[in-house]
Amino acid sequence: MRKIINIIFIFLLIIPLSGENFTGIQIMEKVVKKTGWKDMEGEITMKITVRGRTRTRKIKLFSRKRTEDESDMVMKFLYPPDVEGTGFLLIEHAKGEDERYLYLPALRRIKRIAASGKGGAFMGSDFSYYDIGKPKLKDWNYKNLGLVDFNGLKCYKVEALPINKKIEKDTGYSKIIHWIDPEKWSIVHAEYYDRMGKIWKILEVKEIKNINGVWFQMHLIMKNVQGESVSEMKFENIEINKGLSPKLFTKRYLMQ
Amino acid sequence: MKGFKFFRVIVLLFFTFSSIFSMDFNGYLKFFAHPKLTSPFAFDRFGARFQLTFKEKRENIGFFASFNFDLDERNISRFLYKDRSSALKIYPVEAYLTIRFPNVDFKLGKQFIFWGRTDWINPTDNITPWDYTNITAEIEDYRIAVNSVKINWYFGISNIEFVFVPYFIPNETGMKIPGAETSLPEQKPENWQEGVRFSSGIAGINFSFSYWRGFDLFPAMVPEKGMMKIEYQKQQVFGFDFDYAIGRFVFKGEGAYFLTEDREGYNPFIKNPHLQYVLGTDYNLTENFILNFQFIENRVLKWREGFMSPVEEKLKNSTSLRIAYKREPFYSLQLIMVYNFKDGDYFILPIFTYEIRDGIKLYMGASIFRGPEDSVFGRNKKLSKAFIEVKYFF
Repeated sequence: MRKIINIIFIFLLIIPLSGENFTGIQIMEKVVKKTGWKDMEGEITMKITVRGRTRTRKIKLFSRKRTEDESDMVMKFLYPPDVEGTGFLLIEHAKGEDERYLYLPALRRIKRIAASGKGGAFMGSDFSYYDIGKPKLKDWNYKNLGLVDFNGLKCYKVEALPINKKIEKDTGYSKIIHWIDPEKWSIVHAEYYDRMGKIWKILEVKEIKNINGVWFQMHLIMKNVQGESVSEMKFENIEINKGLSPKLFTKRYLMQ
Repeated sequence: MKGFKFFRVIVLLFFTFSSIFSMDFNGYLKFFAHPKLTSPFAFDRFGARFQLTFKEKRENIGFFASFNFDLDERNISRFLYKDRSSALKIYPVEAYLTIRFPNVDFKLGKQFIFWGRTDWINPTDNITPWDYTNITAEIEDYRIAVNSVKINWYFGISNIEFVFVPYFIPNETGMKIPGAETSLPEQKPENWQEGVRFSSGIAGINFSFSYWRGFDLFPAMVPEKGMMKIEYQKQQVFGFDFDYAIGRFVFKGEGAYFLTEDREGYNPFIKNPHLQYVLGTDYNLTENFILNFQFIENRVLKWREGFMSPVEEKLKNSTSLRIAYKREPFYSLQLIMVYNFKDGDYFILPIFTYEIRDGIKLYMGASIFRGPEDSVFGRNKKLSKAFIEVKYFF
């Protein structure tokens, strides 16, 4: 009898390790917990290549979570010199429209711009604003497709489907499949499907670094498989949870 | 030769200062050609510009200055190889000092100050003059910075801006009337210009109220001793503007009441009090394709038949359109148009921008004024020109 109890006990211990018992949402909650931060400051180098032509942009980025569902982000362009000083401010609102402001030094004034949805291209790259933001778990139905081998790494494969047409339209995605490293609870690879259900973009995460206890994706490559473009985003000088001043996320700072 | 010596002195001073104070410096070199689109040939230009900018930004204090060195060749008649003038012109575009306190920014010097939120037509924007003879792709070419003091006081999401401009600079209109003398306001305290603007937001709507006491940037013709004189007249401007974003739309509005010196409307040589407002919207058709459409109305108040200047119109309606397509970071296409309903005159500004490589840009376009001879844009036909510019930023 004791032997049977031991077998059942060992079996119960083994089952969670096999990973099959985590639901998709449980995995994504772990991802958000392990890779989430309250505020972040850093520099991004973005290389955008279209049909063999490459353009480089360097920006200083500040971001913070104002509430669970609301973030603020401010970007200042550092390179090339013709766009240096250009600033972008995004203030998210859980209820109501997000606010987006663009400061063009050449025009010397701040312009309010329309939100083109979360699917809008970030800095003209293959990354969208949705891709670079924290996933909003309530917007998606997640399904664990099991543990799979990915480049020699055991990963959870998780399928995300938008909960309604509005989310699908807003992000431009009908489906996303994530490959998640269960050691770091970080996305290492993803495939994005367009609204016709065709594969659109592939994300490769080349480097993940632990900064202040947070697993941060330092080097990402997004390839548009429908077009002929690829965007590479590298983070440098990242500082996390240092308590950024709210004054950074204002129109006043944008113009300075 | 004298100009070249001055150029060398400025460059020497620039690098001396920037190395002593370890300031950042950058700038650009551009080659431009502005072929005329109509006769006469007064604005056929080509040349080069070297702009040097140096800036220093510390925690609470900053300094910014940019100088243009223009080598400009102008064709001033229909003879291509005759009547040309070339000149080296060196001048500051902007030069100002910024002091920042926890809730106050203080900016002193030559600077651009723009008020308003609508596109291109801004009734509340009466501080920084225009150079209508040089409308190209870049605002620096067709707006003229003013010596001024600007103080911004920030509290919560609100901001009060105080502006003081001691000396008046008018618009450059290219207008020349034979025999008419131009009289600028005398530099004395009564002619100082000042204003205040309060900006805030509520329920997703950003708005501002403003007041400006200064001079009309456009000239007026007045008789004096049997001759005509060009002068600039005092006015007070009470303004309001707002923007509101919903979905793919950004609704914008801006209006102003111009209180002139002819309060009762009986002086035909001074503009009557008038109202001007602009209502419009930006619409993001797609992520890369943006439309802006605006309706503009200008209404003259205290209209007195027989006492009005021939250039005044009781009611004038116009529309403006901006279509922009961009494929960041490679190229963008933009078309700006303003059309006056009554006279059918219009202004069109198409601009193509192409990033040849990081930091090198090509601009091509044209500023086109068309319409009947006695209409606002028709009168300025001679300012129409094409432009092509290549710019290297460093």
